[in-house]
Amino acid sequence: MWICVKWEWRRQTRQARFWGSLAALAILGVLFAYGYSQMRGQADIQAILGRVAGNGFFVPILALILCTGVILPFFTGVVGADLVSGERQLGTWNILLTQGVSPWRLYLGKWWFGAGYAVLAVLVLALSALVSGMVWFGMRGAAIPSGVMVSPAGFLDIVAVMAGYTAAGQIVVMTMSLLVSAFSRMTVSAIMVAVGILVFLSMLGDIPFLAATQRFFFTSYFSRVGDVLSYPIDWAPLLRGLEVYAVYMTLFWAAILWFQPFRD
Amino acid sequence: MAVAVEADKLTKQYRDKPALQDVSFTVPGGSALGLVGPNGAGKSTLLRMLLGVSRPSSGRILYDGRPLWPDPARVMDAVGGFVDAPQFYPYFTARENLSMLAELRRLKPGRVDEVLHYVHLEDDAGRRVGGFSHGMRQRLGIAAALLKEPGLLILDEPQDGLDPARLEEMRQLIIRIRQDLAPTIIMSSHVLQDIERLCDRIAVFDRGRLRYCGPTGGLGNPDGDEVIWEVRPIDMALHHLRSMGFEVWAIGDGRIAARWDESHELGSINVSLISAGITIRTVMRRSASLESRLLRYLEDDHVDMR
Repeated sequence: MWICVKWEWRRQTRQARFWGSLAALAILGVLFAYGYSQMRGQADIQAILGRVAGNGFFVPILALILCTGVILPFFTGVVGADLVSGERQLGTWNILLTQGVSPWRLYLGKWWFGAGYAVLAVLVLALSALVSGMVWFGMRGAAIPSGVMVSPAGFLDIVAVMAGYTAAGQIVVMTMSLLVSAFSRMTVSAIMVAVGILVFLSMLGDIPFLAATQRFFFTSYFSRVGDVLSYPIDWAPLLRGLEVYAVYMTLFWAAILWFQPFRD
Repeated sequence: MAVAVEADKLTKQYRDKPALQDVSFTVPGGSALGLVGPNGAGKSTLLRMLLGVSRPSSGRILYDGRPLWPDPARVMDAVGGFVDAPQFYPYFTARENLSMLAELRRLKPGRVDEVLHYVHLEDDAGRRVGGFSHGMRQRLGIAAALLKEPGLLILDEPQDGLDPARLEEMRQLIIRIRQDLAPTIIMSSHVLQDIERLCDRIAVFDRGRLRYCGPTGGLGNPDGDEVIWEVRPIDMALHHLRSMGFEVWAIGDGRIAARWDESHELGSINVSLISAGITIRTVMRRSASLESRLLRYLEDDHVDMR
């Protein structure tokens, strides 16, 4: 299986879109630092984050909170949705099957790559924002909105936990997109379905009568990354979110095991 | 070592449309079977099932007595080939594409250069496949199929889209593979001369059914002569010749063919056609080709002759 991961990695890194997506996330981190600098003049935002404005640690925190619902799922969703459908569309999936390679090995290899990409995407965003914040504002201990004073090391803990939780959510997004991809022959249709599902789930809260159902879906647990912003860290909401993620991961794997859509 | 193939009552259904119905045949180890038939006859569907790409709706495939389905990956060790035009990652070089396949199959690394040399792609091994011509991709497809030193080689229209020079190269390559490796070969083609030249057995498909499977010489009468007329209108000419007792059939491009023997007098037949208001553009007498025999076979709507 690791041979599959190695070649999948090599295949993806040969394509400009892989580096383009990571570059876009890195630029986004810098843009968040710029946007954070502009908050100083905005009275309404200062009322919320008045105590913390001007601290570089808050750049990655804001970047993760604001990107976890839409932007990161878009990137991981697109990459995951292309993994099998892209091979089918190109015709290389057939060559792999005719070589007698087990499609399960291929699928697992693609999942590991996709999970790696999800983690990498979160890391690139968080690190870019952290470095930008450090350069722009410097790093120091500060009081978080709950009023607790947090040291620089404590802030680093918070950022690391937020990044880990966000990455876990993105792995679930990628697993769902990979499942969609396995059923599709065309990349565009797989991306549309995967991203469409994510958009629909995130819009559920705004739809009358359906808003109450949002809590049953994994996407509504992305925002719990904001609950990390307490010190000491309150693990309960995060663990609840991770449990939901685990349930959905199990469902997605059960679906692929049940349908095995690898051959016509 | 050559692999014997047995297909037993293979059926493939796409929703409510049958693509292949109740197909059974055997291919002895070391022989070459050519699949022929019109577009949509089910040839590629069969090859996809033989290569483990498509799952049969019912029936079974045996390779040396071992069932291919439900887990083709366990039985494909000695099977190589491609279906549809072989496709590779355009951003990888030819060597990288094959190295990936070789590593996935845990083959020895030197095998890649051996097969690239065998199909005369060694000078282009370091080039990206995205810049390859169609003929080079076809040869790379054969190289990929040969990676495992297959006992069964399955090729879907390997000559498709090649110019005459590349076509002859491909013929020579397949002949060389038969001589050097002696695998069982199953290949489809619309170039019937190639099937006649490269294969010792032929399977005729039409509308998802296997109409004939046996020696190439067994299809129709290979020794008989025929006369080809290019005429207008075809329907009237067919009707007229049939009323005169001829076995006659359309062979496309405004041409009809009739089985011929020496008791007939061609001149008087032509006069009779012209008198009936039929325009004759050309007339030609020749030994019955495989193409003509095949078309007559399909037109006659014969029952399965196996």
